[in-house]
Amino acid sequence: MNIGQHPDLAWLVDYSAGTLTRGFGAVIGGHLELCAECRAQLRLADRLGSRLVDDAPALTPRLQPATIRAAAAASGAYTSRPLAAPENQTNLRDYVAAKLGFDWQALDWRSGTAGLRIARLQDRDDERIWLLHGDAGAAMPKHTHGGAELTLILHGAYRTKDQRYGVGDVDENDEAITHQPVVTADSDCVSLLVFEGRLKYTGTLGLAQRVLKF
Amino acid sequence: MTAIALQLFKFAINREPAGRVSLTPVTIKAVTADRIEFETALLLRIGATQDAAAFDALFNALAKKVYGYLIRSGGCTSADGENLLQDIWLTVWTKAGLFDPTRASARTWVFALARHALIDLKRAQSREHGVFETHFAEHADTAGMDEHYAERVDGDKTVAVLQQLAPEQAQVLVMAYVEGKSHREIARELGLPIGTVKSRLRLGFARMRTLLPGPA
Ligand SMILES: [Zn+2]
Repeated sequence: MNIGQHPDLAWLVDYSAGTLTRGFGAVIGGHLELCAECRAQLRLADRLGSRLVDDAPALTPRLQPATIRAAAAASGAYTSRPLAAPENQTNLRDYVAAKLGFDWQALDWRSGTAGLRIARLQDRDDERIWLLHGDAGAAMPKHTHGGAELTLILHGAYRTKDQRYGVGDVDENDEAITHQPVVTADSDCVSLLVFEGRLKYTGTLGLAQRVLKF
Repeated sequence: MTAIALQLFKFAINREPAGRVSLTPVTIKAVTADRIEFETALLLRIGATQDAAAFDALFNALAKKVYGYLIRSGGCTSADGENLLQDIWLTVWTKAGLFDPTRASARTWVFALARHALIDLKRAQSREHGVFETHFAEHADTAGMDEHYAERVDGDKTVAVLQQLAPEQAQVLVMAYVEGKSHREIARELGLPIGTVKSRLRLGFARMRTLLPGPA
């Protein structure tokens, strides 16, 4: 798998420190499934995090390991070992469905602008999680953002002015960036879009947004 | 900035008022690769067969460190520390099957559990009672507290390692890993552009990388 577009290291540090919210966590987790380079960075980030806590002086607790085993036996809690998917065979569509808890067959797709459909999995101001389906060649409306935005390509590819984003790639944007992804001509494209705040459309759609307040 | 980061960071800065990188020689205790592999083998064994002897061995290898972290770095009371420790090791015992050795060593995995448990506790406390914030806010600016804290962490290699970073790099790393804040929360809290926080994280990360012993 040839991954070309990586998230900033800051997202891997967040992932490692366990501070990513559900949607952003799914995007970064999905990318990590396919990207050995970022997995290596994550291992470093984990070690760094451990280093920051591992140097604590040793103190002896009262707790004994037998107590824990007894408590677990009483509650019957045990997770058996899952079978890991072989490298590079991870299907990102399955991955995000499992991660975010939805069924691809049961999504409520709504038509957007020409050639675009949107399924909204979560619509909160602090974090919106959308799935986007674009027909081959479809253009998203030009827009900017109210905060951070990460897109993970699950199927197909799209282009922006300077880059092509294919399966596993992460397209990272924020309030300072205006962009207009266009699905490549050879295939439709499915992506997971996670962002803070609202998308702000520019151009005539932006005018309509301001008037109609969507 | 709050709590632990403030204390650690103050301490690091106070030693170098000009904000220069400290050149005090620091020995980072190298955890040998053998030991790391041994712990990882134990954890895999727990995951595969829920082997009690492997669990006890791993507990004996790591629990004191984890407890020390909760109490000394995390500022937990011994009651909270014991409770968290129990949660953490219960997770190790019941969820070891989820451990992926291609992603992390056992030590890293267990400490990540500890970090997350501590962050959850702190968030819950500050949400519900403001205890954590209040406790430190009351003491943060008193010289006596600084001294007391400096005494407690003096010789602590974490601080020593952090002293090798530029203070603003140490600060964002501590906020990320010890306080459990995302890079966007850090930017908001420090009133910095996101790009600045990202570059500080990247530089601090690169510097730390050179100080970490062992294989990647
Ligand atoms: Zn990557």
